[in-house]
Amino acid sequence: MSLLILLSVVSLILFDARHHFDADLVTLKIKHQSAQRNWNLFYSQQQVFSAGSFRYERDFSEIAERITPGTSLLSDLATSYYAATYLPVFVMNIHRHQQGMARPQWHRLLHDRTACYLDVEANLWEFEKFLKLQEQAQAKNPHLQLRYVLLNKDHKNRNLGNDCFSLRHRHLQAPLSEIADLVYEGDFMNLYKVR
Amino acid sequence: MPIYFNAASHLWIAYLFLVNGMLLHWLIRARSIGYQDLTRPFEAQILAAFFLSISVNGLILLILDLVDLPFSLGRAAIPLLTLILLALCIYTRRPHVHNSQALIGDISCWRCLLYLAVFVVLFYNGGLIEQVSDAWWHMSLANKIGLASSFTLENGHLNGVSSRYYPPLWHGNLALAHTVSDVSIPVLWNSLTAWAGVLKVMAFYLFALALGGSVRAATISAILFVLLPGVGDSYLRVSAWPSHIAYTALFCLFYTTFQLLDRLGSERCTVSLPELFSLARVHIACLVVLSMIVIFSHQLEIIWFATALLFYYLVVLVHNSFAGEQDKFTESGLWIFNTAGASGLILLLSFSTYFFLTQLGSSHSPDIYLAIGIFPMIGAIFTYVWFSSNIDSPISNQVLSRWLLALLAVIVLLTVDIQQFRSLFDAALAHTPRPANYAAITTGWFGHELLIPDWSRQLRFGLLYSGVVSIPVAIALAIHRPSRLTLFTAATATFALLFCLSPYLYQGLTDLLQYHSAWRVSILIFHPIIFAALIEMFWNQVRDAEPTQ
Repeated sequence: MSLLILLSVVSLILFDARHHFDADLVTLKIKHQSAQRNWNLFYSQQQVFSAGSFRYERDFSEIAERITPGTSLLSDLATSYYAATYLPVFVMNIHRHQQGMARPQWHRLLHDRTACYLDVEANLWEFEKFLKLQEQAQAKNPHLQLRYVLLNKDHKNRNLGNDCFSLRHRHLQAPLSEIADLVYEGDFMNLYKVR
Repeated sequence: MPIYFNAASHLWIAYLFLVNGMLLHWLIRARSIGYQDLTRPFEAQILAAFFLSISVNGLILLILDLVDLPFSLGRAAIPLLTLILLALCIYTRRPHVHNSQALIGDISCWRCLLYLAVFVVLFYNGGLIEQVSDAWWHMSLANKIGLASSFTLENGHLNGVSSRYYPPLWHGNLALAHTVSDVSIPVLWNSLTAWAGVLKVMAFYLFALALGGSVRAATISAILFVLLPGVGDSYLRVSAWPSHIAYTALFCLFYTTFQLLDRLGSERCTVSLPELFSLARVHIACLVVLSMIVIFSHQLEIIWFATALLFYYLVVLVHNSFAGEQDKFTESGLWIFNTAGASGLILLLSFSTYFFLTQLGSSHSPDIYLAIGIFPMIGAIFTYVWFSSNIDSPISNQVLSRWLLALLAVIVLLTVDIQQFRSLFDAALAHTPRPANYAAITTGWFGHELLIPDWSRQLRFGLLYSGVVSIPVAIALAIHRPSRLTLFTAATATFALLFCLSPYLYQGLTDLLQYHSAWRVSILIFHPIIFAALIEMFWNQVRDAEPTQ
């Protein structure tokens, strides 16, 4: 009886532990953009390398020398978090649940896709108008005035695949040049300084 | 590809988070027998080095912040401290401490292999930074703390506006590591995952060891901790998060607490405060330091620590109320155990009663009043049970205690939502989720909404199947083989599951703690330890049943 119970317990443990050795689970989680919180023998550093920020480190080092500390920057969601970690800047585009009561206006521009379609003249005009209004409204808070726009041109990072701001980076370069100066052009990042 | 095998980051991590702490640890060991006993296991020495390092780093940063000096001075301060500590270690070196066993501590091959395997796997998997998750929020905070050379930021670290207090000890350490080493924060975070994962497994081993006193069972517990799914603390790929540093400290808090009780022995007489301090000053100091680390890295785990010990005390009361005189369970350091337990009861009763009374004027539904009223009732019943067990008086009545406990059990079981239990196994039956509260919604007896944990948020995966199966196993072990390990694990697992099944208990806990993720109480289901104890018990039976020659 003891042996039977022991074997049952060991079987249960082996059954529950199987997810650490399940290659299909890795693929499924990547497909559904679900976090791989548990270790898995088939999860390699390639995942962290291609979907993380390591490949952008040289670009961020160069940008850090060109950017004014304490200013605000607009980019796609993932790159915004990378920028907040590598650079001395604040970022406009963050997860809704982390925004608190701040900046609903930016949310609208990003989520109704105005900011993603600046190649449409009306959108560019609205964006410019918004920048001017922001400058006036935030005269006492210069750190909240948008000074930079960062385009991430990478196509391997799966975090950029759902973000229209990143997906349309080629279409945004020309209209951004009308309202901002290209300060840095790197392997993965283009940094624009708003005029 | 250098970033994969970023040796520089690992060397810096080893130096900044272990070396100074290890030197300080050796100095303390040389002067304190009590500390030597407490840190006899190899794991205790490594963890002591880690916690001492991050504490010292935090203190250095705090001093720099207070005198308005840049954190970059850490580049000089840390090596200077190393030299000072090294000189002190050489100066105070005791001739008789040349025993490698004394230096390294108790360690076995199996555990070494386990830690090495965990390190290699986590090194290969990396930290969870390929997802744009809260890890980046923490790294951004560490970056801004480092840039500002201050724990107090003028503006929100992400968007310059939204800011909230977050305990800064771990972020400060990350900022220091980045400032001193010039290695980027994401690389450090990624590399730290392997180190912090191993430290967490080591801490879990110590916790299991202090509970059961068996090296074999504790080793099996550590192995199962790595293998079995769980909630929160079991996610090894997020070991670099501040909450996981707090979990590591939490397991060490349990270890130190039970070591303290063992140190006080089975003394039934009262011990005066000076005597207590003399016997256990090292343990008390360690408890204070570990508590501060928890409070300044994530805070919440202090609540779970206190809650777990209270659950344990309540179950010991229940057990002793129904057990015969011969079968009563006596915890080591009884006087302290009873005093602390009684204090916990008084706190539960007074705080929950106060909270209930302050809510009386509000226009809550009857269901909400029941939810917050259940806690004063639990507190009152257990206070009477404690009184009956410990004080000889005309109103003390063991039979009445048993009936009250039985009545309480019936009331609590009546509050259990059967659909919630079934939906654990069948997602189609789940209650309507309310993402804003990190919970689901169910309906109480009076038709009003009550919160209940949403199983889909990590819980279902973490509990099925070993988590759920471990609970009746733990109860059976506690009934048939009452001991510290069985009673503690049964207490914490049972109460944690009840909070997840009863909307009244869950709503009440959420309101009392003012915490939206009260379902994290489920981390108190220590199923690796439960199964390890079961495996050891049956393994011994199988071995003893083998015919001898």
